[in-house]
Amino acid sequence: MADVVIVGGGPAGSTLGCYLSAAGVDNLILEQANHPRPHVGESMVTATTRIFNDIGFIPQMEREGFPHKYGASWHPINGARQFDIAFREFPQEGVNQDYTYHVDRSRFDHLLLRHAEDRGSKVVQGVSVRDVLMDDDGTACGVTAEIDGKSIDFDAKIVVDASGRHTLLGRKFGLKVNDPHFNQFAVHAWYEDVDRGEGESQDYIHIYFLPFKRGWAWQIPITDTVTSIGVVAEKEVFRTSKGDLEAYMDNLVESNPSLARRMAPATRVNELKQEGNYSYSMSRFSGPGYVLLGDAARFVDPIFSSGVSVAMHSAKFASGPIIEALRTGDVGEGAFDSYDEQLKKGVQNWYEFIKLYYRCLPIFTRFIQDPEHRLDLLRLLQGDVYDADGVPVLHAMREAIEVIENTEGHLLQSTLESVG
Amino acid sequence: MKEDLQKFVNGSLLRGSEQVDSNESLLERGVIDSVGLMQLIEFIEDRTGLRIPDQLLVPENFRSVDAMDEMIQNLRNP
Repeated sequence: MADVVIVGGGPAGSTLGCYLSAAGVDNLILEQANHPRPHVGESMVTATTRIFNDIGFIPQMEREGFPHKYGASWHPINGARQFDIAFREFPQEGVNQDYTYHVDRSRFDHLLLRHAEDRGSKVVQGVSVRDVLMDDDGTACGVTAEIDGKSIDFDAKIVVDASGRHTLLGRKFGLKVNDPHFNQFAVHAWYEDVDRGEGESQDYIHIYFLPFKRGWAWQIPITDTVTSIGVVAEKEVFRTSKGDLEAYMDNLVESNPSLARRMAPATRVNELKQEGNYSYSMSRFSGPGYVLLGDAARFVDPIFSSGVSVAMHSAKFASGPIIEALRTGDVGEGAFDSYDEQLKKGVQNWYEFIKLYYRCLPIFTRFIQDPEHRLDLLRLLQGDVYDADGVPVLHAMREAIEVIENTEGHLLQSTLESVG
Repeated sequence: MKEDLQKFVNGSLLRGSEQVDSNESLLERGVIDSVGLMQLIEFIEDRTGLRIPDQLLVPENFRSVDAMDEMIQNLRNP
């Protein structure tokens, strides 16, 4: 019997494994796939560097040669100019690099899982976890899994759901609440010969606004020659594709002149894939004997590259209460409340930001050019969302939007989108 | 500044279609949509180093080149 069984060997599960092993806690990671396996979500924020430092993973990131991400660039629909930010403008405490990374997730996730194993996690791949085991008083106490067609029980003192968008426990316990505002679809693939732009910004992430409901596109460097391109829009827009992903992709690419120009010389080098990005949250992130991490806890529109950061931070935040619960022997109701609170605050800030962003895009581009707000915005874009003293720029964005709403005849009123 | 603004409106915003005088209404010409407005704000802020507060983004201040110039004067001499 392991002290902790972790369902899922993506970034959340592997990171938790590293933290637990460092504290001498026996842990078992059960992964459904056999890594390497593909995954969407290829760009990161600099806040993640703190976690890489904690778990000693920077040398692997550097050795692997993942492209360094020094900043981000936004391209409005009219194609007139781009808005850049460079992470070095705002050095973060505890982050000794002025860049983060873009990654081929199949390689990154595989490396991180192997790292967890090196650090002491027991890892079994190719295992489908089917159900969670409960003791008589309703506390999770293990999982049932299927290996080679045989059903096997794994007992544990604590069960961690890091199953990503499978949301194993959230579905089992009926915790999943779909987001009332965001129901987007992404279509993406890798391309060669994308014109990535000039100078340092070639290796930035580029975000293109698209003239469709909650529409945007990403441009993410994967290697020297391969670039990931994805388009995102609400489901009602995606439906118009009628299953023809190629035509849909071309149509959305053409809708922003800057993106169309960048893509003109490009050739696609792998299959077009679609992802339902339905945003959701679990009504709670932990309960008696169990904890939910990363996408298994919450999923929001990936426009600010927050996914891996949330996954790895959730693992860090959960590790303390898990270690403490094992020490005291109390894994019951309330044992992981502090984790719930900490993660909720952070993901709520991301979510607020995303909602305000969509509510009025011009406010975002105004703020990014405004010396008064630029650094606060940068701090948020780098993933510093978990601080106790809150995120002041969100308040300022809210106020700016109120001015637009409440000033008669305001010229930006027509740009307001109904979001929440 | 007013001349530059006039040139910008006639050059970049109206792009070759019928030109306007400084007192002519831009609202009626339909050039002050959100894209045109953002371009104007950017032009004015870049040239003058001023920040136009959100409260001032109303039709009275952007109706014509004269109106924008007056807003800029007021921002310079509060």
